[in-house]
Amino acid sequence: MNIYLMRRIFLITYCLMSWALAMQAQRPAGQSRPGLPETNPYSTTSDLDAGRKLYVGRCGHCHGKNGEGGRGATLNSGRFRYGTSDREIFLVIRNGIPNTEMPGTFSTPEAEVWRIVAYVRQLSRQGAPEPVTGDTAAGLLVYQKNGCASCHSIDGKGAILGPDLSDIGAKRAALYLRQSIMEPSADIPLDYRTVEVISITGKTSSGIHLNEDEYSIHMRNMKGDLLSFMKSELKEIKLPRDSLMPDYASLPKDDLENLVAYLGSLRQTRRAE
Amino acid sequence: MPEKILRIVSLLGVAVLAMVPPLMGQSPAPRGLPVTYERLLKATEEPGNWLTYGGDYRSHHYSSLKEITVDNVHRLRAKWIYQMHRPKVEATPIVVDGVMYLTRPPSDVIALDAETGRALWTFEYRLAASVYTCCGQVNRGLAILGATLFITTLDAKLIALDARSGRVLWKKDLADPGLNYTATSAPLAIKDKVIAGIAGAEGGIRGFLDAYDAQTGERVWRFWTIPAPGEPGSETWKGDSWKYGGGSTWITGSYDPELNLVYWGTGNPGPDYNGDVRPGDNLYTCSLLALDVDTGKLKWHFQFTPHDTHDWDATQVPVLLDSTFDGRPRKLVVVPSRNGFHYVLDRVTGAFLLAKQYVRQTWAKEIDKKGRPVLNPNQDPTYEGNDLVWPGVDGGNNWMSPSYNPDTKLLYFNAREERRRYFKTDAPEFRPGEAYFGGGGGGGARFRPEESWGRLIAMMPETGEIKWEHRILTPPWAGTLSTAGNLVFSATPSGNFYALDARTGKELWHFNGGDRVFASPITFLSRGKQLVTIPIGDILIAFGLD
Repeated sequence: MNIYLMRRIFLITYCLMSWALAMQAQRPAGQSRPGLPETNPYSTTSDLDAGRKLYVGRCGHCHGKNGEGGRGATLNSGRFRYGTSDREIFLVIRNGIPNTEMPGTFSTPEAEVWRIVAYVRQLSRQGAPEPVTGDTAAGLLVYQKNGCASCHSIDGKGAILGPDLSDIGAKRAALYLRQSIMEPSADIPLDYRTVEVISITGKTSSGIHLNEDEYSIHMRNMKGDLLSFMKSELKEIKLPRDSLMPDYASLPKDDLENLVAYLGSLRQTRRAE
Repeated sequence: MPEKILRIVSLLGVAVLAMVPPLMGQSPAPRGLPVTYERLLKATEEPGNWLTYGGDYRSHHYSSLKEITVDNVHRLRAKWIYQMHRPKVEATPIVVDGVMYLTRPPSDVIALDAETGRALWTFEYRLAASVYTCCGQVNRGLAILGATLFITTLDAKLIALDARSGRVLWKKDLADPGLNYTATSAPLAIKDKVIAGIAGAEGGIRGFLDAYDAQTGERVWRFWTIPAPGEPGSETWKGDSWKYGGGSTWITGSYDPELNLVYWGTGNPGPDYNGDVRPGDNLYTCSLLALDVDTGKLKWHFQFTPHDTHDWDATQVPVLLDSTFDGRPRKLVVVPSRNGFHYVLDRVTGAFLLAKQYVRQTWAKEIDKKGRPVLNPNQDPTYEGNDLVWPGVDGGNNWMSPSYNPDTKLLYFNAREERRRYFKTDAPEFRPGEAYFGGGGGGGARFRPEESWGRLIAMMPETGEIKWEHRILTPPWAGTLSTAGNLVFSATPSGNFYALDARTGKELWHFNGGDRVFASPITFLSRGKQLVTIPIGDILIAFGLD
C-alpha cells in the first residue's frame, strides 16, 4: 500500500470518527437509553386508569385535565413536537424539555412514566375538542395591523419585549392563546414578569424582571436596555401582577379567531437531532 | 579515592538529600491528633477547631472566637477557594489544628491545609453500586475519633479512614443499596462508638439508627425506627406497610453525656404522599428519639407529625439547652420542626413543653397540650393536586444547622415560607431502584414571590418568641453560625454569604458567591487567625480579615 493511499484511508477514518462523535455529542442528554422499549409495556386498561390518576396530579395543571393545553402544550391534538413513538414520549416525560418550563420526572418510577405515556396516547386519540375556525392568512394581517411585532418576534423579525412567538403554535393551545390576547395578565410566563422601581431621587423605571437577589435587581426596559439597580438606592420595588401587554378584549371576534389561527399555525420544524 | 569518584559520590549524595524534603512533604507529620473522646466532650474549649458536625455534642453550631466582630466584619476578604467540581455540596467540615477534613459528593474525603486550602490527601470513593437517591448525590460530613475519620457513603457503607493519609482502615455495610438504602449524613463519634444514620425513605426503606465499634467496625446496636409486628408502636402500622415505612435518620443528632442519651430525628413515612396504605400514626416516623448510647434502647420518643402526608421529616438538628422553663431549671431540647412549629421538650423525659408556629402554616389548628396537632380539613394531597397548603414540601425548616448563642441566648435558624401544591397517586409497590413517593409536592404550580420567601429568625428558644428576623428573597437552604464576635453568618439561595449583628439583626457584610448555597458555615483558627468558611455552589471558600 503506498503512503498516499494509507494517508487517505487514515483521513477518511478520522473524518468518519469525528462525525460519529459529533453526532453523539449533539444527541440531547438522556435520549440514548439502550434497552428502553419502542412500544409501551404498560398499556392495559388498569395501566390507563393509573396513568389518568398520575396525569391529573402531575401534568394536568399545565396541560389541562383533558389534555386541552394551557401553560403546557395541547396533548389531545394527536401532534407531538418531540416525536410520536411511545419511546419518544416516554423520554420527553422522563427528561423534560430544555429551555422550557417542562420539567423532567427523574425520580418517578419507569412504570409510572409508561402509564402516563399510555394515558397521553389516549388523550391524543380524542382529537382537539375545540376546532380553530379562523383564517391563518387573515390572522397574519391582524398581527401586522395591531403592531404585535413591536413587542413580539417571529423567526427573528420583530422586537424582544414580549415572548418569541416563532413556535407558539406547538407550545400553546388555542384556548390559552385566546386568553392571552384577551386577558394577558391571566398567566404571565416566568421570564416576562414585570417590575417597576423608584429610586431614592424619585426616578421610576419599569420593564421585564430579569434577575434579583437580596441586594440588587435587574430589568430590560421597554427600549430593550439592560438596567441594574442596587436596592439600597431604591425607595420602592413593585412587582405588578399585570402583564406589560395591553389587553385586546375589544378585538372584533373574527379578528381574534383569525389571530388565534395564525398564532396556532406557527410551528418550527423540529431539528433532526 | 580518586577525585573523580569523590565528585560523583558527593553529587549523588546531594541528589539523595535533595529528594528528602519532597518525600517528607508527601507524608506530613500528623497535627493535632488524636482527637480523643475527652476532647470531643470539651469541644467548646477548643474554639480554634471544629470537632463535630454540630460544633459540639449539644449541636450549638456556635464559636467563642471573637477576632472577627461586628466592628471589623466589613473587612472580611476571600482568602482561598477549594474547587470541588461536584454539584450540591452540603458538607460541614471538621477542623483539627490547621487541617480541614471535608467531604464532597458523592462520598469523597479531602484533607486540606486550612491556611492555604491546598489538598494534603484525597480519598476518592467509587460507588460499589448504582443507588436510587431522591434528592441528589450529597454528603454532609464526617466524624473524627482518635486519628480516624468516619464517613457514610451514598451506597450505604460506613468507612473508617486514617486521618493522616486517607487510607481505608475498615469498611462496613450499613444496608443493601440495592434495596434503596443510601447514606448521606455525618456520623457522630461518642465514647468508643460511631453512630450512623441511614437515608432512603423516598425509596421505601425501613429506617434504623446504628452504632459501630470505632476500632473494629463491628455493629454494637441497631434501633429500627419502624417497629416490627408485635413490637411497641407496631399497632400504628397496617399489614405489611411497616416493611417500607421509611423513618430514615439522615441528619446528625446530638448527645447528652450526663444522661447518656443520643437525640436523633427521624424522617417521613413511606409512601410520602399517599397515607392510605398506612393508617395510624406511623411510629417512629417524623419523631425525635432519645436512645441510650450504650445499648440503643429507646428512652423516649416524641412524634411531631403523626401520619405525615407532606414529607415533613423531623430530621432537623436537635439543639440541647440547659435553661429555665416556667421558672425552673430544665434540661431542654429544642427543634424548629419542618412542619412549621418550634418545639420545646424536656430532654430527660421527653415531656412536651411548648410548640409555637414560626412560619405560615395551614395544616394544624393548633398543637394540643400533649403536643399532638389538631388537624385542619382539606390539607392532604389529592389526585388533582391541593395547592392550598403551607408550608411547602421542604418545610418551614429543614436539615440545615441552627445556631444557639449563649451570649445572646438566641437560637438562629433559617425559615422557609412557602406554599406548595401537593398531589397524590396510587400507592406504589416497592421496587428496587425506584421511588416510593405516592405523589409529589410540586406539579407545575406557579406561585407569586410573596408565596415563596425566607427569613433568618432570631428566637428565644424557650418561648418561641421571635426577637428579630432578616428577610431573604427566596426560601433558604443554608445553616447558621453565631460567634462571640456578636455575629450571625448565613447565606441565601442567590449565593450571598452574609453577616448580621446577632443582637439586632442589622446587616453588616455580604459577599456574592454566585451560586446556590446548601450548607452551613463554620469558623476556626488558622495560624492564630480566625477564618470563616462555607460551601457555595461547588466551591468551599474561606474568609478572613484583610
